[in-house]
Amino acid sequence: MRETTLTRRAGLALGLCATALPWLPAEAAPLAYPLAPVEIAPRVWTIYGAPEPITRANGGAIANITVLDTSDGAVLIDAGPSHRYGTALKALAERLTGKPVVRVYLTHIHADHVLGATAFAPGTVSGGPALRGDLKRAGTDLTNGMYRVAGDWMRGTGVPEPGRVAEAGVEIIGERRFRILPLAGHTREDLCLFEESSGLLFPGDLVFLDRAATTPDADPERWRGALASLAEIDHRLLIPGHGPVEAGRRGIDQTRRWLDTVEARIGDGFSHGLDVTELMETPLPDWTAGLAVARYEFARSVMHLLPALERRDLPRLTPA
Amino acid sequence: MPFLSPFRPFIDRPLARAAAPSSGSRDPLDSPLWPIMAERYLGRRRAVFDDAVQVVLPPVTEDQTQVPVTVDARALGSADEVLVIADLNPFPLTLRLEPVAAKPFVAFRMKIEQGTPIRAAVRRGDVWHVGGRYLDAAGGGCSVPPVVEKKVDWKSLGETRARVWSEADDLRLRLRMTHPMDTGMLANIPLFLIEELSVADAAGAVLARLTLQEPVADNPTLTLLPDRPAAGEALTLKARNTNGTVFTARVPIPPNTASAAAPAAGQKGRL
Repeated sequence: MRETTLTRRAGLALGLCATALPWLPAEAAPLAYPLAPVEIAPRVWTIYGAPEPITRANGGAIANITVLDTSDGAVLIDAGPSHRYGTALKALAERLTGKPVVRVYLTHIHADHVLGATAFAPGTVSGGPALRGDLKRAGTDLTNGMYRVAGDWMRGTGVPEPGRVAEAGVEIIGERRFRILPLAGHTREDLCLFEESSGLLFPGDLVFLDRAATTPDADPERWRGALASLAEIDHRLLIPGHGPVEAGRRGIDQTRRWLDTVEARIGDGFSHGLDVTELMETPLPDWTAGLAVARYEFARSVMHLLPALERRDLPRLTPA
Repeated sequence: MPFLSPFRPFIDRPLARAAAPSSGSRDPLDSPLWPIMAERYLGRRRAVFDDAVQVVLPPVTEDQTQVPVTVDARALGSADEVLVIADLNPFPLTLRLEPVAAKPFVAFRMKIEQGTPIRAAVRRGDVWHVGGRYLDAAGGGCSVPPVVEKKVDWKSLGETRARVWSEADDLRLRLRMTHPMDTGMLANIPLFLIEELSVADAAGAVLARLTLQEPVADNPTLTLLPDRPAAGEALTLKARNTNGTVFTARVPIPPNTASAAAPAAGQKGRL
């Protein structure tokens, strides 16, 4: 009799476990980006990226993406990190505006901005003159890297082939006027857009705010030049590639200060004979405590920028 | 909740991994290849895992053909031999340092085929002290062709750039040689690399001797901490590649005027 009770209890336990099973493997649920648009200006919505590195948790959704409504259709600034993101973004833009997407501007080649573009008709996707060729050359490595880091979020993602070239000048879509400014520095081609009717400035990743800037393809000198050009534009709101949307030039100044700090630290470390991993561990100034992922990006920047100093500035020796 | 009782032993049991010993004979990185590595490279000598041997890696792999690695076993004092081993590289043995009159310390860059434990085995007498960390990385590096066609600067082949700093009780030598480190694993590119490198004082006495293997990155860039030689105002670098070409260079030693301490203090004010 006693044994029977135990068996029934065990059976009950097993039954409870079995009913819990469908809820246990949460990873098996299809991944979906929780796109949360914020209306930053009338009929303009920004989907904020997470202030983090690209991880398997965030699926690479770390960059700011913006949807603008026009009488001709929706215009997007950047497309997100994956085909899955692009698909969700397209549906969101159509729902917000009630119109199809007529233009997707890609600001620069980095994965978190461009890989979602495969969800859109190539004829609507526009980038700088070099972008198409650069994607053809380096796109597979871009996607490979992303598949490795972000995993299943990337399923179905290929290399975008922008069908349009954005040249310097003004492109009119509906009632909106997009002034296109070809700049460089964060990468070798950074497309900056200024929407003249609303005064919205989209500098892409030339401006980071409250998040440390990334430098894998950076030319700090050209970047500073680009920041100076951006500072001359009288904007109403600035939408940085990463970080909060605000008016004023805080993002421009902060990005410049971060670049100056990183370059000076790396230059100092180099002149004291530090190697890469040693330099990564040196302290950063207090003001950078307010920047997300400052330590991580500084470590990356050391890997990007120190080798160039070694190549150029270590004294060249004559044979003994 | 009696029905949970069958699971109780698992809930209460701490994770075995968390209790991994920091010093002992069990591989803290749990690499299945470690026993083979130990047999192949450490001979019959005893090996202990020891936190005094530090392998410092970046928080993320930016470029698999140029992964910065620092091996620091200064906590052991002196050492007879330092080996760097990457279990899952096609060529696990990466570098061998004989710090004849130098600290057991070396910083360099290497190529990575995939994520792998990176270890340093430091021999003092008959005992190997082993430290290491796991490096996360994707494919590429040793056998996958580089993305952008690799450019070899043939005109300045063997060009050496180097500088010596005076530190408190020794010297710091940083050097960069323009030279490919071709592994022979890419089609139509034969093995071609700097094989041997030595640092000597002005009288020719060797301070540090290095053997570089296939995984060392192109244009070898190294940091070493040789002792301050008793005489002479320069170090002599001597490198030999697999073709038998010998490259030599002379690196002046700055005077010992505590030059390392003063500018380091001044650098704080600059930012």
